Amino acid sequence: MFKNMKMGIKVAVSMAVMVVIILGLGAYNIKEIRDADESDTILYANNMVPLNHIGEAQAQSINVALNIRAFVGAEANMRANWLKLINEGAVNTRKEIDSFGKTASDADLQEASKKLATKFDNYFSGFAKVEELLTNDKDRTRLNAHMNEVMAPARLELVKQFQETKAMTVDRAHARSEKNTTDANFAIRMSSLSMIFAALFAIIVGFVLYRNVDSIVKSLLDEAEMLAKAVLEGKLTTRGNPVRINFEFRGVVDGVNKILDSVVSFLDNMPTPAMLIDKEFNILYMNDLGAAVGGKSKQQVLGGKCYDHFKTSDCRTSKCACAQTMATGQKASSETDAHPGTNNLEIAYTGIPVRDASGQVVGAFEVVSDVTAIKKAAKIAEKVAHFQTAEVVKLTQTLSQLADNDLTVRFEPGAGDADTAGTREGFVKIAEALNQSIDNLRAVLVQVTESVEQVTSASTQISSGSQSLAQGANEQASSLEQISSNLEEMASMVKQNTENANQANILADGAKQQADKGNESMLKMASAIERIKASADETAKIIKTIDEIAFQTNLLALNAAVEAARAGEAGKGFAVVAEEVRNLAMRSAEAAKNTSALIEESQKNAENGVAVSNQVGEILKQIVGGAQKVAQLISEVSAATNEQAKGIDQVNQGISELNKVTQQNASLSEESASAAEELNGQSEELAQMVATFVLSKKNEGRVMAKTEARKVLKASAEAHPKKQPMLTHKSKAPTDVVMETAIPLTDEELRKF
Amino acid sequence: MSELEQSQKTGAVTGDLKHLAGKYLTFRLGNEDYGFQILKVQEIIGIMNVTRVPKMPEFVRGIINLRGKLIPVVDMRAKFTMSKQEDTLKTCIIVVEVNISAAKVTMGVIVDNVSEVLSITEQQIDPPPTFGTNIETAFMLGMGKVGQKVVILLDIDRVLTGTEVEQIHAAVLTQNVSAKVDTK
Repeated sequence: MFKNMKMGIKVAVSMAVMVVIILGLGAYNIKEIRDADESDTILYANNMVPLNHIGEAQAQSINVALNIRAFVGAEANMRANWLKLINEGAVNTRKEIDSFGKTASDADLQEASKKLATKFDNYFSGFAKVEELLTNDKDRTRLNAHMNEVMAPARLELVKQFQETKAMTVDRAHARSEKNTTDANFAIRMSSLSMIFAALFAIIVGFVLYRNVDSIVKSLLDEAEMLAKAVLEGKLTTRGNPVRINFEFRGVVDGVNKILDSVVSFLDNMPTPAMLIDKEFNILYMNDLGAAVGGKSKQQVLGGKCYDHFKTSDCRTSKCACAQTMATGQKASSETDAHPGTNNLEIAYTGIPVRDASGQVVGAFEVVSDVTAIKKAAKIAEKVAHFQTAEVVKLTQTLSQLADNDLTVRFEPGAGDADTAGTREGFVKIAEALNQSIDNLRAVLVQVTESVEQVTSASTQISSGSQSLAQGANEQASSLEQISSNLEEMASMVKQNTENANQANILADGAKQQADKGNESMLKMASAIERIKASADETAKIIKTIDEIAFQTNLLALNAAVEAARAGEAGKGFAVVAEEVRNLAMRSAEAAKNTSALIEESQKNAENGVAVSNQVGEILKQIVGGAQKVAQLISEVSAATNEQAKGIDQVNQGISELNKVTQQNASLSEESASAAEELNGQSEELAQMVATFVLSKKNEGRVMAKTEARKVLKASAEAHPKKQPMLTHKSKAPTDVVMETAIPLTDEELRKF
Repeated sequence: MSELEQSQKTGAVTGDLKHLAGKYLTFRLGNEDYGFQILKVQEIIGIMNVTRVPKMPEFVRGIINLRGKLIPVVDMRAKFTMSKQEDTLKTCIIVVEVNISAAKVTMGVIVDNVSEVLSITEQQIDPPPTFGTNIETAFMLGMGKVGQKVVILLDIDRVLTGTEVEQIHAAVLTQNVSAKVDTK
């Protein structure tokens, strides 16, 4: 069963068993260590703690005995301190003995603790008598007797009991310790045994696994070696046997078989024939195409001789590339004709040596290319080249005739056969284009001849036109000068106007300020008048009061007169006084009345004054408004005048420019007149040049020095493109138009020309 | 009654003008000057608040309180059927003593303006003009000529007829009584 398991599972099972063994061993060890620890705790709790208590109890009891001695020997006044210490010691001793009893591990020790308690109580009860005797017995005979007879034996008993109990406790601790040592030794022995067992198990499992893996690898290597050898020797049909391999690794052999299958299938499907042969030319392998060329199947050709299949001229001669390859061990190529089956082929083929593992050549691998089509194409190409050369020579002749200004030549391509038809087509196209170009050139030159005649007549007209233009320009210039002087006068007048306007502006401003001041003063006056009116009102009130007083006084005087009359003769003098008083009252009333009238008048006048001042203010405001308007109008006039001045300046500038242009026009028109004459001469020259071209068979005699004519053409072609910028530049002035279209060349250009 | 007073009175009746000479308090109503015999005048006061009394004739303005004494006030313009006029600052009340059937009554007379105290001689006085039988002139003592002016001298006792004065007096008396009761 183990044998049939997969390798991974085998390793996993072995590891799992090892892990279980190690875990068991670890668990056992942990348990033992814990037992030892527990045993230690018990040793401490059951033996060390009671031992400590009993030691402490013994120390305390010794303290008590020593303190009793000190108590007995001490002065009376110091005894209380010792007594306190003795009692504390006794209590501590009892407490420690009780603690010992409680912590004791077995019944024997508890019994011993009880005895110890009894003996201590027995000893300490004798101390009460000591206290009593110390106060009563002055000569201390009885005290000494008590100390020696009672206290000393009791203390001896106690000490003996302490020693016994202590010895017992130490014995128990020793026994416990012995047990612990025994347990620990047992645990060490058990652990060692388990480790040895685990190590043995691991060695056995490792050996079994090694054997298993080794046998599998060996069988795989055998199979791989066999396949490699077969492929090296060209036995491409050989395949590995998977049944001989452990079931788990059969995939490896299957995979290698599949790789071989796919490599062979690539060879089978190669677009060229290929084969493997041994030294005796036996076919070991041939791909599908190779077999099909001979009209056979792959199986049919296998094992036959290669020269029986391909039947080439090289076969069984020293020219055979495969024979060369096998003889030299080097790659060799050759070309020949082959006749497999019913075919007749031109082939190129290459032999590659096949070696066995020791490097010995055991056969050859041959790859064949069909070059029949390539050979045929090369023959056609040669023919076409011949044809092309002939045609090019013809074409060159035609072009050189054309270069000699003969515009009557034509190019006709020669006749070809089926192979040169494509090339001829190209030459036919060239011929069409060339012949068309020559025709066009001829037509153009005919037109040029006509144009030259026209140019000649036109240039004559231009010459006369330019002269009259020059005269006109001179007249124009003199009128422009007059205009310019008039404008300058006008400009000075405008400047004067501007100055006047500015002065008027300043004056208007002054008027406005004065009017503003007047207005202010008027306002002040109006307020003063108002104040006068107010004080007049006040005065009127006072006058009224005076009038009233006068009236009352009058009444009083009248009453006095009445009384005086009643008094008869006695009142006569009084009556006179009353009369006088009354007169005074009348006068003051009269004065008050007059004053009142005066004040009323002054009030009226004041009111009038206010109204008048308001009117004056209103008028002043209007004056201010008027002054402002005047100032505004003047500034507008000033601005307008300034604009005018500027405008005149601009006009002046324009006129001076116009003047310049006119003068330029005059000089240019003179120049153009001379240029037109020159043009006339040039056009005649041009006509002569055009005449050098042979435009028809009749004119053949007119062919002139060809090189000279060509130079002239070149020069005119250079001059021509510069016409354009001249035209756009000067077309601004309408007077120039005639001149420009006639003579587009500058002096410099003309010189060049 | 004084001698002068007596003589003035009797003179008026007899037509003898000598007794009319003496002092007069002159005043104005409208454009005319009038005069009262000075001895008839008690005092002159400025116009003051006049309390109207119901059921009085139109010419009675009302009553005034003159230093604790109530006296009736008569509007002379109304009495002389002259056009009505608002009181001015010059309007005065002349307090006079009127004799009504041997009783003396103090009354106020409202006039436009008090002028002066004039001494008028016998030669300056003419008897009141006779315009015809029907027109009553008894309330005038005579006509005084002072410079260019004419002063109509009035008999105050006759300006107000006896019955009128009694009526007024009676009304004033009741007022007085009631005023006294009120003050108590």
